[in-house]
Amino acid sequence: MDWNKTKTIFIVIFFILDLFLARQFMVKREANQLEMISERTGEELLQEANITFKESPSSNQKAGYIKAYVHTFTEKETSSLKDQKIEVQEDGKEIHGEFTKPTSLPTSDEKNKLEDFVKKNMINGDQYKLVQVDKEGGQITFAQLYSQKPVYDNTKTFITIQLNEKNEMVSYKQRMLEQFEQRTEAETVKTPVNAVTELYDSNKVNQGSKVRMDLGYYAYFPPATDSQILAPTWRVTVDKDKGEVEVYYVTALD
Amino acid sequence: MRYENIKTVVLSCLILISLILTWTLWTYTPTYDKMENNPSYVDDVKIGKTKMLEDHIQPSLILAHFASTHKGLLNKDMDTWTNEMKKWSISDVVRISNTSFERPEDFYDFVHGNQTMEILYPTEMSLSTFQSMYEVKGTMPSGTFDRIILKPGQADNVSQSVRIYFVNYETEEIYEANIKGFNEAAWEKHYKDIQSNGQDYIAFKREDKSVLFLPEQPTPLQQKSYKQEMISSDKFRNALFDNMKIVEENELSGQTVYNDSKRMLELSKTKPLMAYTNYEDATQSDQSVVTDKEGAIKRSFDFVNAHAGWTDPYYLTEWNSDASYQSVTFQLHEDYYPVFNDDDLSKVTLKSSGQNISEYKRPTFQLGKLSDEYGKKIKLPSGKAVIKEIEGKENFDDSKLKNIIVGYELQTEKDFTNVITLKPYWFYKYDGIWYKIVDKAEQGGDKDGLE
Repeated sequence: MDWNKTKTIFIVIFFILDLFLARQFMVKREANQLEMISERTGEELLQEANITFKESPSSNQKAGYIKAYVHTFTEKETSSLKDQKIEVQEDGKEIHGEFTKPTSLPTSDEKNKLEDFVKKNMINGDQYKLVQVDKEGGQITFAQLYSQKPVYDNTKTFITIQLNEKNEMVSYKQRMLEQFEQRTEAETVKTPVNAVTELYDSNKVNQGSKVRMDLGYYAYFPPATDSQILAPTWRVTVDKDKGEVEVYYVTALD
Repeated sequence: MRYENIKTVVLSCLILISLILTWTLWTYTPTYDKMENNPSYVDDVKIGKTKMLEDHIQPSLILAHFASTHKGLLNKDMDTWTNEMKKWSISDVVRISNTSFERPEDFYDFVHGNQTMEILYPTEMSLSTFQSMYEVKGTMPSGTFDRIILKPGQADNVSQSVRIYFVNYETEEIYEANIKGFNEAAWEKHYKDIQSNGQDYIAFKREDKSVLFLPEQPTPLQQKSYKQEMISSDKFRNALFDNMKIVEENELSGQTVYNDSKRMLELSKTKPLMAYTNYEDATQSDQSVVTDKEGAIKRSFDFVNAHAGWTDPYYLTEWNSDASYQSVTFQLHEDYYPVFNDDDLSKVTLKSSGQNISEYKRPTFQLGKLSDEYGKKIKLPSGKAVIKEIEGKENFDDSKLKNIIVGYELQTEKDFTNVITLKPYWFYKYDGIWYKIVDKAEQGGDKDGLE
């Protein structure tokens, strides 16, 4: 057999093979790039749907799962409270307080003044943050903080202040969690864009909505025990018609 | 000679390039976070075997109707029939108007008339569920059915093809289709086969002319005993939670509870039962979310399949759909007979809202070895006697009577351990509830309600 001729044939064969392999490689790379692109379009999708963020939420926040226990209020704690009548309920897990003198709602700088009021008048009040002032419903809601992030909508920790018809603060209820433990290492949470895209995909956020994003801790149900696991969760407040708002929770870690 | 040298170099280069390309092609992976790097990732848990949907949706009865008699396929021959169905290819499913029926009984004549084969399912289901099981070409209309009707082609039809209809007995919807893989000869063979080998069925006619079929004299069935094999609770925990680091275990009175911030798994300490709830899906499903009703059965089946939870022959028996949630039940069967139990020890029930499963309840044991002891054969009362007994119920209303069948009752030992006994009985569904008929001679006439 003529080696020179064989070489020529081999050159042709390998050339064709290389072309084929190169093409395969391109196809594979393109397919992967397409996936990357489809991930990026979350932002474009929200732009198209005209969904805007009320305050630009900070990306790249870190959080992990935590565990906490229900706090039982002691007599030492309750006796330190002044100018209020205290009633201890549920074996010390909840306290009901009634102010001897009703206090009017602040007219300016509401958030700071209310948080200040809680700090001065309630047990560990500095650990609570204002969540909602509902004058129609006659109630102000506060959430307990863990490493600066609130524990939202939890039946085992809250402060609610009740208002009378004159919008004066007359009484309150409090529950508290303690012994917070970090259960998983803090990791970068889902971006606000991705969290809202999820809600948009399931038709919970309409086009043209204004949304507010807050990162906190949340449990979807109250376990029967005195301990509970809380997950880093986005609290998404969506403005609806007539000044109403709708609140959704989106898991911040997958 | 120099020319040849260049050729050698070129060839070497080409070979080298092909090797490099092959290597990169094999090893090329995009820059994703790999699952293996995530320590909390748990390997897929397999409890039983992964199954096919068509093996878990089985007909409850196959009837051949003759001029004045009705015959039913014996349960022991059911396998042959379901294998036959796997060869089918359905196409062009269209809804046909049922206004051609002048009198109400004409619809029932169409379904139960002479020269008709009727395949009954225990519950209605969407046509798309049928498409998930068997080959159907083209799009399925959105509709429901609970039985399939097979009739031979009309005499003047040259193609001699079988006519197939999907029928919803309650709403009287009829869908006509073309069928391949089941010709008239095959139809004839099965029809004749049931005629010679099947058992006699009697018709219970309701006031509104609708008909219920039950065996005239059911085949005597053997009482059976199985060893009860418990499935480790760790398996369910690992299958249903995805990050073990955040799963809490608590011993409460009567049950062990596992939970994280969204999910809860309750394992009863007194009965071999578990209940799993995903609160994220249970609480966040509002009306604005379009629930995919038609996909509920497939979705529920796939959920159990994902952890290979089909441990025993659990067949579809119920599909309830509501505006906010869907409930699907798969019930244990023994030789195609349904198995009943007061404590829900023979049922796998799933609820879904939106696209996800929010509730999953099931027994935590599987049937082990069949006991060697030869159980006694039990002869059940005749179909006529059973009808007489049911009609004797106080304020009997035949429109509330939905079904009369032969099945097994699952009986456990007092402490729910070791042995599972299956005992044959007649059962009937009245006003949404299943009742067991206890033979008067055996139990002195007391009637046990079965809920």
